[in-house]
Amino acid sequence: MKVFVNDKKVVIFHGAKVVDVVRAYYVKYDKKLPSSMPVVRDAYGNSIALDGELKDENRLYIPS
Amino acid sequence: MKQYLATVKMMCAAVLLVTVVLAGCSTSSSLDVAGQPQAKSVTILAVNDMHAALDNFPRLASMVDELRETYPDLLLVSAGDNQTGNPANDQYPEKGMPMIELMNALEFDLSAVGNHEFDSGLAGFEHITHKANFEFLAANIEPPSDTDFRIKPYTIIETNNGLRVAFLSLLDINANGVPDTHPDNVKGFKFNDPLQTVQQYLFLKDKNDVLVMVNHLGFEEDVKLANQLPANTVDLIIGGHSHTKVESEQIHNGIMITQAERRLKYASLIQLTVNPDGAVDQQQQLLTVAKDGETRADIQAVVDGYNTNPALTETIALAEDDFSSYEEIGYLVTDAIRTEAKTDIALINAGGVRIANLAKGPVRTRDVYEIDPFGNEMVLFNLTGHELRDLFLFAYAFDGNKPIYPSGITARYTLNSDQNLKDIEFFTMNGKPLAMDKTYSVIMNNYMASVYKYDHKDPGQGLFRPTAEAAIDYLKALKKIPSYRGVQRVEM
Repeated sequence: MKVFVNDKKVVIFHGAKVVDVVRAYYVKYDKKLPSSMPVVRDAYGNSIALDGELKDENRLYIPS
Repeated sequence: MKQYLATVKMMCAAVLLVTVVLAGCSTSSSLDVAGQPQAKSVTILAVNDMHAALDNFPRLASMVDELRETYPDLLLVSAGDNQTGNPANDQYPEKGMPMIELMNALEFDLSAVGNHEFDSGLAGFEHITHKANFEFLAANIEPPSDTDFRIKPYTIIETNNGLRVAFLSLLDINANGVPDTHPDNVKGFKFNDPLQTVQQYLFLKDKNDVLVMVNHLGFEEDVKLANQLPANTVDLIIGGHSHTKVESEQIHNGIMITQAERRLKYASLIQLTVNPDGAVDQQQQLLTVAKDGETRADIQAVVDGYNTNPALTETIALAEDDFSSYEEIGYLVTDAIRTEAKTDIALINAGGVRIANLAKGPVRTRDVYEIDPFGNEMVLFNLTGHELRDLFLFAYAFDGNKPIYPSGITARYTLNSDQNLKDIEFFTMNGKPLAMDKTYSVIMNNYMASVYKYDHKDPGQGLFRPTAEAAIDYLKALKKIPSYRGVQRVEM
């Protein structure tokens, strides 16, 4: 499954949730995993819960 | 004054302004005093992805009661995923029935079928559809012909003020052509493309005043759907699946899309007003449910009963010996998920086991949730021995120099003088070196699947089954847990 975080591609297992993708984004781009996860938003500005379910090509945004 | 009552008043005022009538906003008749046609309204309270949040039902019940005082015709709908996420519901002898009984008590009108409705299993979900006093909707699924699921593509509700409101529902299908649930739960079902299926049902708008979609597709899919629909066909999309908190108005191609995050933290109060010319005005407000406020005592008593149900405290297996380390318990858990997932190898990270002691004697459901409290789910990979080695090498440093607990293999770590991992060798349970070019089925939790950075061809497939539930099922079948005293699968 391919999901974008801050417009950067993250390839992850099928069925991954928001929290999985955000964690994978931090690791892939050599960022330190934060002790608490950031607020995650979609492309329309809505916040999404960390256990939200995803589709291929979904786009997530977190504070950079 | 409570926030939602203020909202109710605001919405009533807005409707009155639009309709320029003095009648109550939920009981307007079809003609005003001058004999002219007037606007009519319908009010909907929508929730989604409740995920068995039983503890918020007493509060929701109180809120619904107060709203029904203002809106006697209030329609109460769920956009699916009522199930999964709370052991009091998920481990109940009739799996999932607490949620259904609570939804019956609050007199829900309908629910979309979410992917987690299938988590009760084929027979369990079929049973649930008959126990529900509300209708389950999904237009793009076809149950097996030898079953008797009570699921309809759409339903029509006629309100007391004469509005005909059609509700239509679509369920998300993943890349494998099924909803996100364990494949065993949907055997024999046929699932059709949701965005194509909707075309067959747009006639509903011609025969009714309002067409509302109650979807379990995710917000971005709902936007995609709205943008491809012809104008003036669908008036509202109530969404679920992505756990999106829609606070500000979202209108796409003239269609309002709502969603209220998950677990009954919020609910969407929506008012649709049908004007004499047939045009439909939409208003929505996100209400907070999961906060301090009045609760309904009778519903609280029912919830208390579920929270103390014997299934949570019953003995599921007998440990024949004490467990006295994270490793011993970790090996038990990996044996459990390897057996349940039917894989060659299972892995658990050291941080995935939260207690180091389990006493000889009865093991209860709640003990398993103490060992594995995170709600992690199983993810399946097909990995070569070389890929497995790269995983272990990365994980050792990432996990603070702690080894992975394996099942199906043993591992020998070779450390440098500075305690960094130099190399790792794997062996079969018979002590023979593992064939490194061969591919193995490997089960692990979603945390490991997301944070371990190593080269692997298979991106992995979530099984949508919590590791704790798999461990419970394993222990129930095992009945007697053998001693793990002295078991050593990692040599350093």
